[in-house]
Amino acid sequence: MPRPAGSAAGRLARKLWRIATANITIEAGIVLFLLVVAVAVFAPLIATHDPLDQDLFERLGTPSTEHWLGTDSFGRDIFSRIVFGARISLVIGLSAVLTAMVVGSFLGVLSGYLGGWVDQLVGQATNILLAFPSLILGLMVVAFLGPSMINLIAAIALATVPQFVRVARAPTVALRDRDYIQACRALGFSPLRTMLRHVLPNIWPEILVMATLWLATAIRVEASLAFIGLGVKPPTPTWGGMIREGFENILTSLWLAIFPSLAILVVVFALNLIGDGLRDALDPRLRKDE
Amino acid sequence: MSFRTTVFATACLAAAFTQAQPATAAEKVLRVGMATGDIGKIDPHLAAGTQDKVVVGWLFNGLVRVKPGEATPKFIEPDLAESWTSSPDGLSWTFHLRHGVQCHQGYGEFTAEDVVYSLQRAADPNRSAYSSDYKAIKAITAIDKYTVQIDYSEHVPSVLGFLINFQGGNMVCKAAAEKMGADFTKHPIGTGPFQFKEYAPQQELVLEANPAYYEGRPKIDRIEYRFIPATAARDLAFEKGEIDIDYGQTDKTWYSRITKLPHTKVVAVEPTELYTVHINESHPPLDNLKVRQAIAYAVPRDALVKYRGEEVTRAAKSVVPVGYLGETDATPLFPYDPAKAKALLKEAGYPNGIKLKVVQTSLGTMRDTMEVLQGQLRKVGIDLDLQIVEHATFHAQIRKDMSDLVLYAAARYPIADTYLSQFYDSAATVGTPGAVANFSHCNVADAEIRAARTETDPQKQLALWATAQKKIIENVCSVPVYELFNVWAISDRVKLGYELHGALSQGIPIIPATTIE
Repeated sequence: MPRPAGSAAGRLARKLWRIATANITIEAGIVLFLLVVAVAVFAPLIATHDPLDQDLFERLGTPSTEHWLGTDSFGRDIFSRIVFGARISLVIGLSAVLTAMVVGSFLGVLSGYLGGWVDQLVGQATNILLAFPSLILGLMVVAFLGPSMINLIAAIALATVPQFVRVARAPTVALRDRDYIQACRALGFSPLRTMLRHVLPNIWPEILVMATLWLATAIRVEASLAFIGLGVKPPTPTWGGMIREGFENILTSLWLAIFPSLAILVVVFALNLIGDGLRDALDPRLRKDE
Repeated sequence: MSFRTTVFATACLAAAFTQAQPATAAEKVLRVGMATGDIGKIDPHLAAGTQDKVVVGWLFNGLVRVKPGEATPKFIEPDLAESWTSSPDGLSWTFHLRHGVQCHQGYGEFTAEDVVYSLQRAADPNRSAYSSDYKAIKAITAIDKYTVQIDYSEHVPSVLGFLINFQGGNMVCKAAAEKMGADFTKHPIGTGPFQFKEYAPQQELVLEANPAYYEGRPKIDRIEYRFIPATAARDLAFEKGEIDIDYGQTDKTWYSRITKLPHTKVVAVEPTELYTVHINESHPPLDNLKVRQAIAYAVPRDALVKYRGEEVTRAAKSVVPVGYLGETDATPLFPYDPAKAKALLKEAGYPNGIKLKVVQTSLGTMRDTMEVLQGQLRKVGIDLDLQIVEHATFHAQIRKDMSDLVLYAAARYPIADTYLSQFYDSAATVGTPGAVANFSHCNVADAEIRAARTETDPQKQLALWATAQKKIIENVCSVPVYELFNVWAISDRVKLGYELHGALSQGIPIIPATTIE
C-alpha cells in the first residue's frame, strides 16, 4: 500500500544510514571515498599550482617543497594535476554508472516483470553486450565516436548497462509471482506503478552494491582508455593520461607514473571496501555464516 | 608415431641443429630498434615516415648519391650512373650507367629501361608522393642499354639533386615493380647493399646482404629491423644488448641518460626536421594578419629549444630549414613578446582571446611539441582545442583543410625551392588538384618561388628566394618553431666504416664496409 511521501523518504534515509554504519569495512570505505570526493570538489583550494601551467625550465623535477610530487615533462605540478584529475575520474565514473544504473535497472525490471518478447529482446541485447569485456566495449565506442567527456561517459555507461539489467531482472522474476504483486494486479494498478512502487523498493540493495563495485571498474576503464590515448583531450589532467605520460619517462622519473597510479589505487580500494561491506550487510546468508 | 620413429626424428633434428650452429654463429647480424609499431610503405616513391625512409636508404640507389655519412649536395658523387654530361643550355642531360648492376632476388641487370620506368613513376602523382619535383621533365629516353637522356622543359633548381638516392630519385627495378604492383610497398626490390628477406607485421623486417652488390657483398649478413614503439622498452633492449642501434628520442632527458651508458656512441644526424606551425588563413579569425602576428609573438622559440635540449635541437631561423641552399635569416622571425601578442588580439577585436580547433597526431614528438605550444599560447589567451588522432588520420584530415593550425615536421632535399614550393606556393594548397603541403593557403610569394625555380643566375636565384622568405614571414603564413635532429644510440661493436655527419634517409647508412664485432 502506498504511504505518504515524507515518511517514505525518512524511512529510506534511516535505512541507508543503518546500512552505511553496518560494519567497519563500509565505514572505512565511505570515509576514504568522501575524502577523495572532497579533494575533487575543493580542488581549486587544495591545488598548489594551476594544473595547466607549464614551466619549461622546471621539467621532470623531483618532489620538493615547491612541487610536492614533482613536475611532469611539461613542467606542470603533479600534485595539482592529481587533485584536478580526481574531478575527471569521479565525474566520468559517477555519471557513467548513474546512467547505467538508471537505464539498466529500468530495463531489467521491465523485462523481468513483463516477460515475453520484451524479456527476449532485452536478454539478447544484454548477452551481446556482455560478450565484450568492458574495456574492449568502451574502446570500440570511443574509437568510433572520438574521445570526449560525453563520449567517454556514454561508452562506459554502455559497457556497464548489462550488469544492471541482469542484477535487476533476476529478483524481479522472483517477485513477479509473489502474492502482494498479484494483489496489485488484482487491484488494477498499472504495470509502471507496480514496478516503481512495489518491485523496485525490494531490489535496490542489490543494485546499490552493484553500483559501488562498477563505479570502481568505471574509474579503471576511464584510466585505461586515457592510458592508451583515448581519454579526455589534453591538457585536461586525467590519472590515466598522467600514467601514460609518466610511462614515457619511467627510466628516469619513476614518480611520474607512480603517484597517479596510487590515486587510482586509493579510489578503487575505497569503493571495493564499500562494495564488500554492503554485500556482507545486505546478504542475510553471509550474515548468518559469520 | 612409434617410439622408434620418434627417437629417429629427434636424432635427425639434433643432427640438423649441430650442423646449422657454426653457420649461425659466424653470421653478422645487425639489430636496429625503431620507434614504430609497424612499417608503413617501403616503396621509395611513397615512403614518408622516418621508419620507412631509413629502410629505403639501405635498399635503393640513385643515379647519383650523396656520399655515405653526408647530407648536403656538395658531396654528390656517382652511383648507378658512372658519368654524365649536359647540353650547353642545361636542359638536356645524358647519364652513362654502370655495367653489370644487379636487381635484388634475380630480377636481372639494372639498365636504362629501369631508369626510364623509375623516373616516370616518380613523376606520376598516382604512384609517387614526390611527383612535383619532376614536373619539369619533358622526356626520358633510353638511348641504349646503358645510356639515358633526360630532357627538361625548363630549368630546375638542381638536376642532380633530384636524382640522388633520396625520395623520387631512388631507382626501382621495372620488372619487380610491375609484377608486384601494390605489394611493392611491402616487398620492395632495388639495387642497394641489402635486399628484402621477410616481414613480420608489427614485429620486424629482415633484410639480407645483396651478394651481387656493385660495391661488393656487405660484411653484415643480415639486418633485423625491429619495431619497438615505446622508448623505454627500446632503450632497455639496447642496454641489454638485444639491439645494436637504437632510434633515440629527440629530447635532452633521453640524450643525457643514454650518453652515460658504457660502449655507446650517440649521434645527432642531419638533416634536421623543421617543426612549423602552418596557420590556415582560410579559417577566420586567422584571415586577420593581427591574429596571425599574435600567434607568432606568443611562441617562445629559445625557451622551447632549451626545453628540448640544445644537444638535439636548434632554433628555426626562417621558414626554410637552416643550411638549405637559399635559406637566409635576413628577415628575422617574430621574437617572443606575450604582451604584444595580447595587445594584437585586442586590436583585432578579440580582447577575450580566441579558440582554435587543431587536428593533432598522437605521434610522440609532434604531440609533445603541440602540447607545449598549447600551454604557451594559452598564456596570451589563445585556446587550442586539440583533436588527437592517429597519425594516418592526421595526414588525411589536415589535407582536407580540417585544422586551423597544422604542426608539420619535415626534412626535404636541402635547397630552398623544395620547402618553398611544397609548403608556400599556392599551387600546392591543400584541397586543390596540385595539393602538396600548403596548409596555410599562403600565396604571397608565388611569383618569387616560381621565378627562382627556373632562374639560371645563382645570385638572382638567391635574391628571389630571400624575397620569398621575407614575404612569407611578414605575412605570417606559418610560425617556424625549432629543428630537431634524428638521434641514434650506436653500440661500440658496430664499425660504420665511414665518418657519420648526416644522412638524407635520416637513418644510419649501412655500407658494404660496415661491420659488427
